[in-house]
Amino acid sequence: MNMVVDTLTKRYVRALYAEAAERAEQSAVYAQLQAVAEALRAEARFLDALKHPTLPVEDKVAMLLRIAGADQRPTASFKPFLRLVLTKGRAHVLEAAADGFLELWDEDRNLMRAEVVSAFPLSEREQTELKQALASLTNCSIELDLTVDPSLVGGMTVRMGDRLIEGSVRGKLKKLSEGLQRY
Amino acid sequence: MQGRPDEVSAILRDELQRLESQVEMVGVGTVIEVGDGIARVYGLADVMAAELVEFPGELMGIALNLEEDNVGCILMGPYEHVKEGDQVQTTGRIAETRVGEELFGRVVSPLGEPLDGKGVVVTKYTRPLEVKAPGVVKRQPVSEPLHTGIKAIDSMIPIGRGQRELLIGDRQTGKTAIAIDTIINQRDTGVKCIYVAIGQKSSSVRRTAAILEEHGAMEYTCIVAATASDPAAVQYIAPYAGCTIGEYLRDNGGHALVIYDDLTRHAKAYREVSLLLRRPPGREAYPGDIFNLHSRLLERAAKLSEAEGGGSLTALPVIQTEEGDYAAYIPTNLISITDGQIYLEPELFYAGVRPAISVGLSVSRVGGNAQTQMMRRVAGRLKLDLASYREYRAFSQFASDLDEETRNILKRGDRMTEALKQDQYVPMAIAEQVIVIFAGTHGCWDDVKLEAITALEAELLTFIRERYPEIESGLRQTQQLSDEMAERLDKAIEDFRTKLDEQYLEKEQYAERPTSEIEGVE
Ligand SMILES: Nc1ncnc2c1ncn2[C@@H]1O[C@H](COP(=O)(O)OP(=O)(O)OP(=O)(O)O)[C@@H](O)[C@H]1O
Ligand SMILES: [Mg+2]
Repeated sequence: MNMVVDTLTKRYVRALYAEAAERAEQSAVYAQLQAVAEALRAEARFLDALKHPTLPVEDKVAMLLRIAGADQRPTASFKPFLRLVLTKGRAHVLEAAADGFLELWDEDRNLMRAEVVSAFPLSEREQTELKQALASLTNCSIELDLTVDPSLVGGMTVRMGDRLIEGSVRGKLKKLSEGLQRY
Repeated sequence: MQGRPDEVSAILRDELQRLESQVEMVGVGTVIEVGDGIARVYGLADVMAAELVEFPGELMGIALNLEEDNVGCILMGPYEHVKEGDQVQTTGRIAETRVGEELFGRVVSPLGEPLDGKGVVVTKYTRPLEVKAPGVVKRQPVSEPLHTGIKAIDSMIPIGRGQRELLIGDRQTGKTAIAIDTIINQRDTGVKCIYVAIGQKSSSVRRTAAILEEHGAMEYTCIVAATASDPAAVQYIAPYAGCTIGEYLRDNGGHALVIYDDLTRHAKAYREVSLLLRRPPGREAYPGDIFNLHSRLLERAAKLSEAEGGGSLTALPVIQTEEGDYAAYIPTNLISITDGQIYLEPELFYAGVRPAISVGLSVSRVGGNAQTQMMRRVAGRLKLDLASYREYRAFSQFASDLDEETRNILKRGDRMTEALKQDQYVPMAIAEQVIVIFAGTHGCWDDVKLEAITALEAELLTFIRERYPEIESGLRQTQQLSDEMAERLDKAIEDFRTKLDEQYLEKEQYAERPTSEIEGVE
């Protein structure tokens, strides 16, 4: 489940993405952001440390770079971004920054992520067909994220962003029972 | 529905066909925050204002605040299971409620769920909760009476079908009692009633239902209840549900009466919802659109033109005041929105004048046109006379000796006040009211002991019914009081008086009443 990207985070991430895109280093920066997000998720007190007022910003930046592996393989845009976020006292934007970055990146390369839940596992062929169908529906290239949930009984649901395609038998049965309740 | 098997299978076939090829695209969102009956949701593509949205566990919500990066939803049921990250779906339907005849005789929640243990409420139709009120061209002025069965109201503050009349007063002054009696009196009139209980204890709602049942009124009444323990959001939508149920009858040429008991609590529920949705508070911390909200609701009461079927929806909103302060924000709003008010006074109530209607402060701005000729004829001057009597009464406290004329006004007024007292649950037919008021204004009780009047009033009615049956039936059939009929009535009353027992008569000169009994000091 992706995090909800709030307006503030979006603003910082948009600046970062513009820089990264100019240098075509999106994939490296994304990996670094993900590493940071993971660390924050794993250790709740980490965020407190980043917000600590007396710890020097440069120390915090160095720590984050190390976690992100960016001390070994630095990118041009990541370090200035960290410095900006920390001097402004906005460490919490790092939590959802990776997700926000990915949204922008996907938009840029015209990619849509489809979370597919199906009653049975989909075959290779079904996956290709689904991909093609969704691609022609959205005019985007499609990346599938597959889950199986037998409680759907049959069919599947596909969620893309803030839209859901409901094609499961469970959904139809529910509609049917709602329809019949009117009589 | 009790369907025949072939009908049932036809319905099933239809429904299944509708599903056949259906793959639906709906908007979805993610819960960011939930609490206090409110959820903030991220996403929800193309959600409409007031659209129903579905949370996990079949929990419904209504999207109220559409903001830049989130949608504020009110939750329509228990929400303990909803958590951050949960998926929410749009439904494409504006918030709606069940409507139809099937609801009468039932106690339901604002969402149409049964609260009376009589099983699910199945109706054919649903309607959106919030619709625009009919415009002027679709309306006509109020023309038919809606009798409450309460002497003091039907004679002096008459209500017509399609009218909006406010019931206003402090706590425990008999507001609900008037509403309930009015419902009981709609028996055999074809007017169906909807009683909306907002923020009351569930025990009170149960009691109301039992009383209506006992008086044979439940069969044509629907109770919509959002109790004090329901979330503010549910209390907030309750009057819309009730109004929508009545509107459906109105639009099909029927007649309905809806009672909102009470809108003070409704305003508080709306204030709570608004503050939780972080809308800016205004006067008394109510959101700025509270006036608009109530006027939109009451505007839906109407008498439709003949071209529109001639149906009507009458509304009796109830407002509770604090220490008689009808100039507070919500009461003044409502007074200005409605077509008049019935103002109940604690002083009268405690003095035993029940219903405790303040004659001076109560008014019906449109109902007069709908009053029957016979009632207009006997009660034409009653309201003014009684209002000035109450003033004399207040003054007479200070006067030592009163002139003959003043004494007569007091004498008549005391007796009329007595004659207009009425117990709960005994609404009176309009023809009987006419006889009783005629008697009072024609001096029938002038020399009768005050405490005997109530009992004698009943005797008078029996007497006339037995000895002069043509009077009551004549009044009932024509709804007119002709000169000839008035003469006959006068004679009948004279006849009754000759047979009056000595013991009921006042012996000495009429004396002032002790000050402790003085009421109506305004
Ligand atoms: N006409 C009447 N004759 C005798 N008793 C009455 C009359 N009207 C009301 N009462 C009694 O007065 C009490 C208060 O009445 P009611 O509940 O209708 O008042 P209310 O203004 O609706 O009160 P609340 O503010 O609690 O809603 C009740 O016990 C009721 O039985
Ligand atoms: Mg009450």
